[in-house]
Amino acid sequence: MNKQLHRDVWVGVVLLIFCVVVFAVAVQISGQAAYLPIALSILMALCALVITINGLRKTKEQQGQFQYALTVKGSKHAFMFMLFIFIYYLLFRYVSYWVATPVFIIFAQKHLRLKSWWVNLLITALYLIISYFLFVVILKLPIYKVGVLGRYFRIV
Amino acid sequence: MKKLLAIVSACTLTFLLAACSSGGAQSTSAQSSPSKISDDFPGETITLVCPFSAGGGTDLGARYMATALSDQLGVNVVVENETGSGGWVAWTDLINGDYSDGNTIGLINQNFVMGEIDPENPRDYNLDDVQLLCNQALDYNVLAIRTSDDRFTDIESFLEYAKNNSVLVSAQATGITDGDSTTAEWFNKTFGTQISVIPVDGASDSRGMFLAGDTDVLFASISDVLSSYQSGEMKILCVFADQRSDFMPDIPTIEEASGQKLIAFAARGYFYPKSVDSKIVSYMTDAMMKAMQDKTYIQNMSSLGLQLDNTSGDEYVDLLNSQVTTREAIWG
Amino acid sequence: MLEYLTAALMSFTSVEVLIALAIGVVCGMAIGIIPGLGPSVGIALLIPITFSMTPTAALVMMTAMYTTGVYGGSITAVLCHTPGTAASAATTMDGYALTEQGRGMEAVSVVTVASVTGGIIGAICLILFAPALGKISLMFSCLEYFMIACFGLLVVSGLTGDNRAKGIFSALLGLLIGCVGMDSITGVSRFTFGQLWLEDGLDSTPILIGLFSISQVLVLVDRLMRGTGSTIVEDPAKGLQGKRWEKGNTKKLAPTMMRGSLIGAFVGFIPAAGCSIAAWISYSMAKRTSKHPEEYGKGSFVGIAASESANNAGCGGAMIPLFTLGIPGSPVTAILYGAMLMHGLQPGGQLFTGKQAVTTYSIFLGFLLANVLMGIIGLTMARQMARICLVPNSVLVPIIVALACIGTYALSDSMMEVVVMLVFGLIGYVMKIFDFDPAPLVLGVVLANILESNFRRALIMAAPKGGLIPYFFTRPISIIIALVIIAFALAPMIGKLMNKKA
Repeated sequence: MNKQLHRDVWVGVVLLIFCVVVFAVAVQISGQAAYLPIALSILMALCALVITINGLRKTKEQQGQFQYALTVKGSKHAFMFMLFIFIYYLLFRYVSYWVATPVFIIFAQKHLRLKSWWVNLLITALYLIISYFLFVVILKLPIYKVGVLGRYFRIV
Repeated sequence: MKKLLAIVSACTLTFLLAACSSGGAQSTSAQSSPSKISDDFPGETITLVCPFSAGGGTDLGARYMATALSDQLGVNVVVENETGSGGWVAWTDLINGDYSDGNTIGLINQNFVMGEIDPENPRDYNLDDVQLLCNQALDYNVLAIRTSDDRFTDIESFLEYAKNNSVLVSAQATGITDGDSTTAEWFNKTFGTQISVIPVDGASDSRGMFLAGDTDVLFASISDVLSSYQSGEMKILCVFADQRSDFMPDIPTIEEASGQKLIAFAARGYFYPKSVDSKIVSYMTDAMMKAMQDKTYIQNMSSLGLQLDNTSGDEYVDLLNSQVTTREAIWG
Repeated sequence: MLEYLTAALMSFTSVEVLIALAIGVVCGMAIGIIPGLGPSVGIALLIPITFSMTPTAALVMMTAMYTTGVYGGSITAVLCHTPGTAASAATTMDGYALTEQGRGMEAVSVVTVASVTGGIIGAICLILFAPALGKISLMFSCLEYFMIACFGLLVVSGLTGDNRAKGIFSALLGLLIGCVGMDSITGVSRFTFGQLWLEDGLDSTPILIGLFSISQVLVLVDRLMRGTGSTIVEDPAKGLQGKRWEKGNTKKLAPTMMRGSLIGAFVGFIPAAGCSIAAWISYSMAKRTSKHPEEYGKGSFVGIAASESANNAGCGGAMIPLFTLGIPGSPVTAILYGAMLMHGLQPGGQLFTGKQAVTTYSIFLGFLLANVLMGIIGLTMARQMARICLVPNSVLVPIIVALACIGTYALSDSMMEVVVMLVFGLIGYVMKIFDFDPAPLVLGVVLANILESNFRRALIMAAPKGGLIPYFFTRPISIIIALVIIAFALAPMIGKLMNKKA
C-alpha cells in the first residue's frame, strides 16, 4: 500500500518555516512600521497550519492515492525553459537586447520544435525590426544603456 | 496572410505618422556649432537626467532648459527620467557610473544635500562628490489657509489659535529631511504652537486633504499655490523668505508678520559628476547661464510660477548648504 | 454647459485633434497589447512627444490612450493569459479559458462591447456630472480609502472558492510583498536588505506579468514538449468558433454591463481606488448575485462583461477628481495630472467655466469618441486578433518572452523590474503546480500601501477627535462603506436563508 502524505502537508510546513523567517526579519523593523509585517506573518502562519491540516485530512480521505494535475518532477521541460529565459536575461543585461533577443528567439523556436528555418529567421527578423522601430525610434526608450554593446544600437 | 500584411502595414503607417509628428515637434535649430573642447564633447546629444517623473515641476524645468540649451550649443539636448528613492537612484548612478565625457548632466535639488543627514537612511554622498553647474529656480515656501476658514485670518490670529488648539498639517515626510515638517517644528519651537504633521505621498495629496478640511493649514511652495492664490481659493498668510515674492507682492514675509525669521525654499539646478574635466564644467556653466537668458525660457518658467535664479559655483554650494544649516538649527 | 459642448464638437474639425485621437487609440491598443507596457508607461512616454502640441490635441491623445490601453491589456489577458494591467486580471481566467476552447473571438467581442459600454458611460458621467461630483470626492479621505481597500480585500477572499486557506495565504503574501520598501509614514526601510532599488517597493506590474504571463508561458512549453498541445487553442483543427455576437448576448449581458459601468465609474471616482479595484469589485458582485457562480473562472461571459465594463468606466470616473480638484483617481491619472500642468490646464472649477471650458469638454468628448473608435476597431478585428491563439506556441512563446522583457524594462528604464518579473514568473509556475491562485497576490500588492498608510493616517487624524471609533462615527461616508461591506459579506448567507424560507 502506497501510504504517502498529500503534498499539501509538505507545502504547509515549508510555508510555515517561511513565515517564521519573515517574522524574525519583521521584528527587527523599528517603530510603527513593524506592526503590519508582524501581523501578516502570524496570519500567514495560521493559513499554513490550515493548509497542513487540510493536507492531512485529504491524506486520510484518499488513502495515499493522489492525482495531481501538475507536479514538480513532471515539469522538467518548463524548468529547463526557465533556465533558457534566465540565460536570455543575462545576455540582455550584459551584452545588449538586440544581440540577446535574436539569439534567444532563434534558439527557443528551434527548441520548441519549429521545423522550418525559413519561418524561424523570418519571425526573428520581423520582430526585431518592428520592436526596434517601436521602442527606439518612436518611444526613444533608453535601452542603449543596457549591456556593453548597447550603445552601438543607439539612434541619436 | 494578406489580411495580416494589411494590418501590419496599417499599424506601421500610423507609427510613421506618430514618428513624423514627434520629429516635427522637436525641431532643434542648429546654429553654427561652437568650437569643440575635445573629440567627445559636446557629443551629438547632451542628456539631462531628471531624477523625478515626467510632467512634474522639476521635469518641466529641465525640458525648458533643454530647448534653450540646444539652441545655445547647437546640438540635440534631451531629457531622460531616472526615478526612484526620492532622486537617489539617478544620483547614485551618475556619481558611480562612467559619465566623464561630459555629455550627461544631472539635475539636483534639496533632497541631495539632505541625504547625508537623513536619520533613517543616511546617504553616502554629499556636495563633495559632485561639481555644481548652476541653479535654475528658487521656489520659496508659503503658509496658506482656506479662504473660508474663520478661525484665523492672519499670522497673529493663526499663532494665537495654534498655541491653544492642535493643528494638523501635511508633509511628504516627518523629520529633518522634509521642508514642511521642519517649518512645523520651527513654529512649535519658536512660538509654542501645537502643530502636528501627517505624512502623505505627494503634493496633490496634500492639496486634496487641505481642500477637504482634513488639514488646517498648508505649507507649500509658491509654484504649487500660485493659481489657487490668484483665483482666491486660498489665502496666503506669509512667505518664508528674506523679501517679498514678485508673484505675490502683497504677502508679507514671516519676519514682517511675526518678528521671527525663517527661510525655507526649494532649489533646482544642475551638476556634473566629479570625473568630468573642469574645462567642460565651466564651458557648460557658461552655456547654461546664456540659455537662461532666452526669452522663451523665461516666459515658460514664469508661467510655472518659478522664480528664476542663476546662482553658480561656490555661491551655489553655499545656497544649498544654507538649508541644511537652517534645519539643523531647528531640530537641534 | 451645452454651449461648451457644441464648441467642443467644433474642435474635432481640426486635423491635429483628429490625428491625435487616431494615434491615441491605435497606439493605446498597441501599447496595451504589449506585455509590460500599459497606459501609464504609454502616457509617460507620450508626455515629451506632446510637448509642442495644443492642449486639446495632447490631452485627447493621452486620455484616448488611457482607455484603449486598458482595453488592449484585456485583449492579451483573454488571448494569451497576459493582463496588460492589474485591471484586466479579473478578465484573464475566464477569457483565457474561453480561448482555450476555441471561443477566443467571442470572448474578445464581449470584452470589446463591455469596454466600450463602460467607457461611454464613464465619459457621460464625466461630461454631465464632473463639476458636481468634484465636491463629493473631497468627502473621501484616509479612513474611507482604508475601508475601500478593506472592501477590495474582502472581495478577493470571496473569490477563492475551492481552497480558501491557499487563497487567503496568497492575498496575505501579496500584502507582505506590498510592505517591501520605505514605509510611507515613518520612512523606515522594510525588507530592503540594503538595496537602493527596493526602497520604492515592488511595482505590481512586473509581478503581474510574471505571475500571469511568464508562468503561462512555462505551462505552454510544458504542454508543447509533452506533445499534448502546440497551440493555445486545444483543438486547432476546429478553428475559431462562434459568431461575433450571439443573438441573445445583448439581453444576457446588458444588465451586467450597466451595473459594472456604474460600479466602475463610482469606484474609479474615489481617489486612490483605481480601475483594478473597480474591476474586481464588479466581477465579484456579478459572481455573488449569479445563479451559476461555478461558471466563474471557467469561461463566464457575464464575468468578463462585469469586469471589463467596470475597468473602462473606472478610467472615466478617475478623471473626475483629476479635472475638478487635481487629485488623481488612479496611478495613471497621476501621470495625466503632470501632463495637464505641462499644457497649462490647472485643475479646478475654472476648467469648467471660463476660457478653458471648451478645451476641457473637448477632452471629455475625445475620451468618449476614443471609446467608440476603439469599439469599431475591436469588433472588426476581433477575428484577426483571436487568430493569435492559432499561432503555434513555438513561435508565440519566444515572442511573448522577448516582448515582456523589453516592455518591463520600459516601465522605469531599469533591469531590476525585469528580474522581478522573471522571479515571479518562476514563483507563479510553482504556485500553479501547488494550486495557489495568483490573483489575490497581485491585488494584495496593489492594496497594501493604500490599506496600511491610510489606516495610520486615519489614526493620526482621529487622535484630536478622541480616537478612531468616535472619529469613524463623524464620517457618514465611512459608515456607508462599512454597511456595504457588511451587506456584501452577509449576502450569501442571506441568500441561503431566503431560499430556505421559499
